[in-house]
Amino acid sequence: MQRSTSIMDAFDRGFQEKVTKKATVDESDPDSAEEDKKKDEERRVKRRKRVGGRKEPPQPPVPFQFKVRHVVPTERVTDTNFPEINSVEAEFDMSSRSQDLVVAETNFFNNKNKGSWQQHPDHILRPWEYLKVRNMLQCPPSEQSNIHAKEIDQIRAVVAVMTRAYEEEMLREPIGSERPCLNDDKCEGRQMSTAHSQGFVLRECLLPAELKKYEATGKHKPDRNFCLMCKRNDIMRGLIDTRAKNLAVRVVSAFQDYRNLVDVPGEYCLQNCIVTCPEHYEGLTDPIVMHIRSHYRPIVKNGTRYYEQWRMAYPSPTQHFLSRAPGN
Amino acid sequence: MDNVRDVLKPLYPSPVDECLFHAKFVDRVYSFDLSLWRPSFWNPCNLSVVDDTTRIYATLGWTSHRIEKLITNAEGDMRYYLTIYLDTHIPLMNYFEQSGKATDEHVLTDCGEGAPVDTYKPSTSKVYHQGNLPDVLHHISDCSFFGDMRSSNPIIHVLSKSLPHRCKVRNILQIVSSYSRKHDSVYEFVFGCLKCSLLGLYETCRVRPTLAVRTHLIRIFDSVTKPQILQWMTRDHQQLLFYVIKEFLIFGVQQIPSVYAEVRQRYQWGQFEQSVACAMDTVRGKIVVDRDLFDFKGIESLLTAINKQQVHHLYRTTRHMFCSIVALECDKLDDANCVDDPRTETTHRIRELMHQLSIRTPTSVETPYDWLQYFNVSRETIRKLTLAQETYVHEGSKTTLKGLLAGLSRHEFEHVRELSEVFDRKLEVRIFKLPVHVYKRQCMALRRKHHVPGDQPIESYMGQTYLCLQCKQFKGFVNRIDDKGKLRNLYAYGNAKILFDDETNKRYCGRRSVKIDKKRHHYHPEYSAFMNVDESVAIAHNDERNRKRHAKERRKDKKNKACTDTELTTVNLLGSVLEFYGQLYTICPSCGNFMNMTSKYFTKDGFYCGCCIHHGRLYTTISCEWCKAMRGNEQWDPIQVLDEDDSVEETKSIYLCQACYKPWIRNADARLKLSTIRRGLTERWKKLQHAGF
Repeated sequence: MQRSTSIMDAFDRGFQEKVTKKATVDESDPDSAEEDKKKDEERRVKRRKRVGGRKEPPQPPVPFQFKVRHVVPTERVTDTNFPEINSVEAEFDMSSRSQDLVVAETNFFNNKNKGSWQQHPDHILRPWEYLKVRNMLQCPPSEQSNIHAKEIDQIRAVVAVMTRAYEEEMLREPIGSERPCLNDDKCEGRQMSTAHSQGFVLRECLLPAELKKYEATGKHKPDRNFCLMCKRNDIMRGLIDTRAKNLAVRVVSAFQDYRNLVDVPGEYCLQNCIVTCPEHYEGLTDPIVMHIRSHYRPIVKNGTRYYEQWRMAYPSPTQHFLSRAPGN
Repeated sequence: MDNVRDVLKPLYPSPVDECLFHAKFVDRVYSFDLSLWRPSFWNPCNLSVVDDTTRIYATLGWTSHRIEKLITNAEGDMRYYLTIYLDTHIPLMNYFEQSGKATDEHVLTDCGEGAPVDTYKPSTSKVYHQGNLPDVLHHISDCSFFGDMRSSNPIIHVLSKSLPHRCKVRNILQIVSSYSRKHDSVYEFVFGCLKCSLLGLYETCRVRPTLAVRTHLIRIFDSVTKPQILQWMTRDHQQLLFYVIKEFLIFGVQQIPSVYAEVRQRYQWGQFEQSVACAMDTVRGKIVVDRDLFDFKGIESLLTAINKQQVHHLYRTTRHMFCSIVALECDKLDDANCVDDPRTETTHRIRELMHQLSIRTPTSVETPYDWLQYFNVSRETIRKLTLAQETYVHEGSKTTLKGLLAGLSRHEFEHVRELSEVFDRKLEVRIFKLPVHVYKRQCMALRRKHHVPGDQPIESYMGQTYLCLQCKQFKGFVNRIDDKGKLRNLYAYGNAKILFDDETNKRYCGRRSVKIDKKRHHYHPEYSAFMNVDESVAIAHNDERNRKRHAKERRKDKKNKACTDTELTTVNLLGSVLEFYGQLYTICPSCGNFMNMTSKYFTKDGFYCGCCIHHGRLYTTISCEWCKAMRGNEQWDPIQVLDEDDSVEETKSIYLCQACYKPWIRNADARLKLSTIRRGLTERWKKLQHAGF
């Protein structure tokens, strides 16, 4: 009778069996239960292989906690409970803070507070002072400091040579139309201690070219010049003045218009001359005899009064005139 | 001084004095009126009466008395000349005193060494006076009147010690004694000054010793030896020597009007002259005849007391400009503070701007520190700096400067230093034009050196060289004679230590990094056990020193880097002399190389380098006469030979190299003919052969 049930019944029975399978397994015999277990185990292994991992172990149960709400504490700030708000020092107290931080902050602060002309390294002047500086820069540089300037056709000093023989002829009183020294009564020829108050004014010192011209034409230059002694004294005074000022010479060129020959037979010794010192240029390129009063003495030659340079030695004849000077 | 009588003759024309100055000593003796003689005159033999047998003795006594009387009444120069005239009689008077015999017969007897009357007769040539002093006046202009530079010349050093500067008396005794021992010239000079000062033989002396003291002193001076004087110096005579040299300096400066005018203007020289003259007059007045006269008892304390009163007119020299002092102090501060980078706040641009400004202002002793306001330096700092500068210029004191610089911010500190260095550079780097005759010779020398024909212009690079303004180096090769006497750079071309950028064609300084001195005094506890210093202190001190050294090395590295980053400055020295940090550079007008202008070497045409001319010939023209070899810096010695020219023999100098200078030439007894030498070298002689062979 049961076999004669309809298809619908069969489906219902199958459905019921599926739903109540576990209950039916428990109720079945132990062999079939073991088989089911094995099948389940195989199924799990297959799934693990397919997924590739193992399930995490179950989490331990979370204990119960109170939920707390965090809130930033607040307080009313007044100068009574916080008096330091009125103080700058407390804010920039160096002792309690890192020195590096202070330096960094200071630099940052200073940098931010600089003018734009200072923030950029190329802007070295403040704009309102630029005009003053520009005015100064527009002046020409001093010739002696401008080492880059190079002019081929520069005007240069002409320095004549005066030999000892020529100079000795200049150390006498004027004759005929020759003019006396520009210093007149204050001429060095009058101040000689060796002359025992019988000194005399020397003749005007003419350079060789000037003398030649005078001898040819008989005419003097309009301007009178010093005698040889006063000229030597004047040049030496300039040299000493330069040394005294400790600034070296201010002139661009030499302030001598003649030169003497040294360590050449019949001429002067270098030790009796003044020259530029090796450290600073003092305006002399060539030696000039220094003026020392006791180096002269008066003599009379052919009725004319002369001064003889008696304490100025002649160079040693054994020494070659191009070799090193004595005393140096 | 030729004859002092000639000076005095016209001034004393009275009949009494006529015989005193107009006649010779012998005439005076025989014309002397014996009734004029008194025993109170000079009378060491204690005669009561004189007669014809003691005529010379009596004449001397009356003459000395008369001259002393004239000296009392005379003024100014006449007293000086009368004193010299009196001194002419002292040698004979001393002879009488020493012999103890007053008779004429004794002094007129020649015992083989000449009669004493001839030996000691009055003569101006036997008298010491200011004109007999060694001629050292040409050294006076080189004394350190306006700076504290010490000269290597002993006379200049001794003279400079007597200048009215601070602390000059220090060690003067040792210095003078040491120089006198080593150099006879110094001894003669000091001894001469001593004689002139003690005897009052300068024209300006107002007080001179009495006749008795003079005779005594002259006797000592005539008999004393150098070792005795050197021994005397080592005793307590420092102040006396100091004043003796001072008195000479006053005399010497008056002989050079240019120096005299300058020192009168800048020193309180008038006061100095007066105080020295007063002191020495007092000394001369205090000398009395005594057995121990030369010990000068009481003189030292007297002069010490006088010396203390002269502080008010001492001159204080300022060797350096204020800007140089500031730059130096800044470097010292950086050194002390171990600053690694000396330039963090300034740039090359700022420096150049300052320099451009500086060369547009007149040169002055004062640096315009008010310019610093343009570079954001506070007015207060500028005010303090200006004040410090004024103090330095007027008083020479720089005491406030260090503290002022130490208190500046880094920005201000660096800008102050930059401005100071810029002005220092302005003073130290300058160029001057040379006169026509030197320029012409330089052109000729450069043409010869660079083989430029006469019809072609000199190229702009000829005579050109470079300067590094960072390390202050002159880059050209400079002719010089080294410590061993060898010539250097005579054949050198180009420039030293230059880096060339071939992309920009710019040149930079290639100076190598110079390590600082390694000679250090390291602290070793085992060696320093005797030192009473805590070890931890010593180690801390050592660490501090190491720290400074490392900082210095880092600063040097920075400077070297700045050197290689700064383009070299080009300068052409043709026709110019360059003053560059204490040296003068120009082109040698003989050889065309660069040279230091030392003012030591001159020819008739002007200065030259001192290296390029040997025996009167330029080095480029010297070659072997035979093989024409030129051997670089080889020292050539000329050989004197006879040159036959139109059958007239003349001496000629030739040069032969070592290979051609054969023994038969070297060992020849007579001077050889040039033709003989040529023939011998052609025929390869082994020994000198007769010309006929």
